[in-house]
Amino acid sequence: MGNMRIEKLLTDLKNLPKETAGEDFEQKLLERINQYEARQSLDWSEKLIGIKRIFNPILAPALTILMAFGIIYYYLDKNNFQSQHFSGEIDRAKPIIVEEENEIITPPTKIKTPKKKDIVITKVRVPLNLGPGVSLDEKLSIESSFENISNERLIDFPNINKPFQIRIPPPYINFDEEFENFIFMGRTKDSIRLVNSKNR
Amino acid sequence: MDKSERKKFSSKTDEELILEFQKTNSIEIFNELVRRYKDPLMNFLFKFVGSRTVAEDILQETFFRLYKNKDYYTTVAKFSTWIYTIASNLAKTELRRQNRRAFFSIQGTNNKEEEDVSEIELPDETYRPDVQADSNIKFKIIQDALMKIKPIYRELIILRDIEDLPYEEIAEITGLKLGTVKSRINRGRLQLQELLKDIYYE
Repeated sequence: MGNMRIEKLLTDLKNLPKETAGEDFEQKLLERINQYEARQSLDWSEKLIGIKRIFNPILAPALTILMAFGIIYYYLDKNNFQSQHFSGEIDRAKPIIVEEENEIITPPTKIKTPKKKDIVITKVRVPLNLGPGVSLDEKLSIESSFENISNERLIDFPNINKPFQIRIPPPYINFDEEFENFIFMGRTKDSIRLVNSKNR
Repeated sequence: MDKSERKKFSSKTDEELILEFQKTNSIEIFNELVRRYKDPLMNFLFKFVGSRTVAEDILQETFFRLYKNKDYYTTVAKFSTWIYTIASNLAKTELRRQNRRAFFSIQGTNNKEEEDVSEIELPDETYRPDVQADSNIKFKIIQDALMKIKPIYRELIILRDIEDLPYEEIAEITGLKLGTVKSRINRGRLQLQELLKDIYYE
């Protein structure tokens, strides 16, 4: 029963009269599109007119002068502003940058360390040459005999044969120190320790 | 557009035409697309919004947008899906606007799930057996009943049961999942049946 109703409903829905657009629909639509296109082109033409006005031969020099004045005024005003605001300020010292001379840095040469396999050890027997031999016993017996000892002075003063005097200054004695030493003789730290150890 | 031009375009698909329109900006191609879709869209829009004047305005706006935004079309979707989506969105916007106006005159109390268009239930005196004789009246009643169901159901019923579009395409137009489309169509039909029970009483 329910299905029957649904089927009828669906059939009726499909058979509902079709609504169609009006006869002048396309014409109206085209009119709207044409208006839109016209507006779009008008926008462009307006922009072009604006550009043309800027590049007008009469207006262009005047505009250029005006712009130049504007730029000059802007820079002057900017400088004034800076001087007003930063007059009391001392410029910081700027570090002078000196360009370093381009030094050619040569890479350190590699020291070749001989590898173990490169070292060749050769054993060569070299005979010692010590000259002609001397018999020490013979030499000693000759030199040590008293007969050969000459009356030579130990220190030779060649030009002074006369007797002479040498003044030796008397030794300076500090009696106070000597007395103190005498009194405290033997009373060093060690002696004190010894005394104490005895007491123990 | 003369007959020879029509013959030239008649062999081409909608997708081929729109791509050619994108390239050439030819008004003849645009007219061909208008000629193909103006009546089905008008039927859909009239059934959806319930007013011929409003439907025609929306239809014009739809084609105007097609003209302006032709470059946005990509071959990912079918042309019919694209144009129906534009028309459907414009119709929904119009219904919301109407609803906002109605809100100040008769304040609806419907604040249920998923729909922002409030329904105003008014007693209907027309669904009586004695006024069913003429089929024109019957169709009028059905149209009125369509306007009484929620727009989310109405749109789907029109697309499926009147425009005869496949479920997949309806899902693409509305942006809903296929299952949701089917269930909503079912619910919409039941609502419609309930409203028209006096007609289908036997």
